[in-house]
This record gives sequence, structure tokens and C-alpha cells, in this order.
Amino acid sequence: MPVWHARTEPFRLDGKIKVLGIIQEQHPDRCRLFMQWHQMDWPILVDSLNLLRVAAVPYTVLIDEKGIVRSINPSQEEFETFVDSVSSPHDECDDAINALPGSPDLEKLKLRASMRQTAEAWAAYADSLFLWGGDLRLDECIHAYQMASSNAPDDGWLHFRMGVAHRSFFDLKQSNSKDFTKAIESWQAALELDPNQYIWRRRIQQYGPRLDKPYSFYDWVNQARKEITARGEKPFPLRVEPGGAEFAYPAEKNTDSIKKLSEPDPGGRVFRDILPAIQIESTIVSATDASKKALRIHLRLQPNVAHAFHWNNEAEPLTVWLKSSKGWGPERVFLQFPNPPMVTDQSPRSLEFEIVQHMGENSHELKGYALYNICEEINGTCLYRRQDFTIQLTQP
Amino acid sequence: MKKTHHTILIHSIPCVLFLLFTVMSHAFEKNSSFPQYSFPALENGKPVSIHDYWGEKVVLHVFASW
Repeated sequence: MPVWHARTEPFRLDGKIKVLGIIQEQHPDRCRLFMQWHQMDWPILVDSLNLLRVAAVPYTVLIDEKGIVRSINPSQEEFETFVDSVSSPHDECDDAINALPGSPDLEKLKLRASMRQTAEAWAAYADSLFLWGGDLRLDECIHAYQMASSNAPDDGWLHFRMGVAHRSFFDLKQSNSKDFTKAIESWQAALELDPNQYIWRRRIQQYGPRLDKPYSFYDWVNQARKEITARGEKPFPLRVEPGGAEFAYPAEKNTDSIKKLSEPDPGGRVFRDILPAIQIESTIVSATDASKKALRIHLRLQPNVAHAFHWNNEAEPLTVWLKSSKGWGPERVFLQFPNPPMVTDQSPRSLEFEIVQHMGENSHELKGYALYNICEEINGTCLYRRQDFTIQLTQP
Repeated sequence: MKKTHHTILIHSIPCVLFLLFTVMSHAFEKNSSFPQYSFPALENGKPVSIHDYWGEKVVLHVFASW
């Protein structure tokens, strides 16, 4: 994109063309940072649902004064011809099309879906809710996609878009991993229906194992922030910071480099967290290519806010130990989440790791435990606790 | 890099928009009108359509930052 930007910028500044972008990302605000980094300031439109139904990106499209597509992925010569072309005369019909309204009436679409009870009507309502309904109507949006999908279970687009809505709901609530898991399941269902949709595939790979990654998705973020700061600007904040899987680089082969670290509680002597004070959830993302026998596991540990539990950040950091599992090689057995600077907090902790499958018989479970320092209520008792967990593995 | 299917946005003037899903080969094709969708602008969330740029030559990039 920066190459095209350099190519078109003189013409844009001369007023000969307008430049626009349509972003195909789950987290479109990351594009704002990307644009700031590359000092590109043309308008960006958001198409997380992929209404344009592109199977892959990028595309550059030349559109004339009447909205007609004149070239897709043009050559330099085609671009120059386009810039120099003379437009046809303006007529009254142009004005009619140009006067079309911008966003739909959600209540009328809802009524229409309720009356018709068709996949198309529910999908139209769901798409519109996602685009124009705001964060507070995401649950309605998911319900509408469910209604649409129940009428057309083989429509991969509905599964994909339902996954987008689930992941957005997960990012909004930050309360549990169920919606993240449902997002992955929805995208996997979509890809099973049409394996040629690379936008769908990328959405899974964004969170998936390194063996399945075409590239690091967001390795540019830290570099961008450094360069923007060095210019004396303040980098745009991100609504959701990229996680480990989104930074991770691809692996060319199965790696099994288990660090030889001492198990922190081999005798199981640390008191168990019975209540529990911490809720542990997992989301498993398998490779989109079944020949790549790897899983990426996203662990999420959330303090039980109903009992006002909070992390004690002045003690040892959260530690997770993974036990060996027959047929699976963890990338690491020992994980730690560094304490944030504040003394206490209630924010969820996310840890990620990968396991690779060996030949032969495989266990369907991965066991491990978490050790953490947690306090009950403000100025309440602080405890060091252990919680054992079992993750049910999906065979890739 | 193949595209499949097509979503058409039909505007019934003066009121409601309805999204109708039909099976077509491409979302946008050479020498055809670009789909009249409205998308939220990243800057402020307001609806913007390519057809808001009527009368202008547009270079449109469909992309992702990854």
C-alpha cells in the first residue's frame, strides 16, 4: 500500500483523484496506526464483515466519476490513462443515484426479518446491526446471524460474519472466553464450507499456531509506535492490543524445544483455589491446514469480581505449568505473566502457548495448573493459590 | 486470488435499504457500477459510500494492515 500511496499522492494533491481505503480487518482501528505510521491520510472505510466478499487482499480499484469500475489491480500505464481520461457528460440519473441514503432503518429491517423469517432478511438485519447498531446491540446482531444461519446452515458468509460479531463481543465484554471460542468455531465452520476464502482463513490464522501462519500479522505495531514517537507524534491508541499469536512469526516445522525448568509445585503442596477466586478459560485454535499438527491455546484467567478478588501485583507473578500429555509436545511448559505496574488490578490475564502433535496415539487432554497471588476485597486477605485445569484438545 | 459471490444493496427511495444476497461471480467487476454499500468511516463511524464521491475519479484500496 505505501508503494501505491507514493505513486498516487502527487495526483491526489493536484486534485485529480480521490484516494480511499476499505479495510478488511477484525480490528479496523489498527489501520489508523498503520496509516499514521506511513503518513497516509486518505479516508478509510471499515468492512470487517467483508460485505465486498473479497476472498483475499489487497486490491486496488479504479472507479470513474460515475461509479463505474474501470480497472482492478491496474498497471502503471492503466493508472495514468485513467487519470488523464475525460469523463462523459453528467445527467439527471446521476443525481438520483448520488442522492441515495447512507444507512438503513434498523427497526424496519428487524420488522422485516421477523415477518419474513428468511435467511436473507435476518442476514440483512444482522449486517446492519453490526455496522450501525453500535456495541450495545452486538448480542442482537449475533442472535440475528443465528436466525439467518438456522435458515441457511450452508452459507459460509453467515458463519464468517457471526464469528466477526462474536469476536467483537468478546473484545467488548472482556468477561469470558466463550465468545472468542464461538468466533473461532464460526470461522472454522465457514472455512469448511469454502476453503478458498483467504480472508476467512486469515481470521483463524491470526490467532492460530505458528506452523499455520503465513506471516506475523502485527509485528509492525511496535516498530510503528517507535517511529511515530521518534517523529514527535503520539501513536494512535489501539482499542484491543494484539496478543501473542498476532505478533508470532511462522514456524517452518514442528518445534519441541521444552525448556528444562523446575516445576514450581511438584508435590502439589500449594493450597487449592476452591471457590475459585480465578476463573480459567481456554480457547483452542487449530491450524487451517490439517497436515500441520499444531494447536495454539489461549488461556484467560479472570478474577472473580463478584467476590471482589483482585491480583496482588506486589507478589510473584502469575505462573502456569503444563504437564506432559501423551503424543503432544508443548512448546513451553512454564509460562508467566509479568505483573503490571499498579499494586492491584482485576483485569484478565491472557497467556498463549502452542503444542505440536507427535506420531502415534495422542491424549485428548492437556493438564496443567496455575499459581497466583490473589487478594479478597480491598485490604482483604491475600492468598497464594493453585488451580489445576484440564484442556480438552481438538485433534488438528 | 479469486472472488466469489456478490452482495447487492438495493435502495428503495425514499426510505429503507434492503440487503439482498444473490449469487454472482464477483463483488465488483470491471465496467460495472461499484456496489452501493455504505461503510462506517474509520474516523467517525459515519456512513460513507463510494458513490458519495460521484463526479470524482477514485483510487480505492481494499486492504488489511497485516
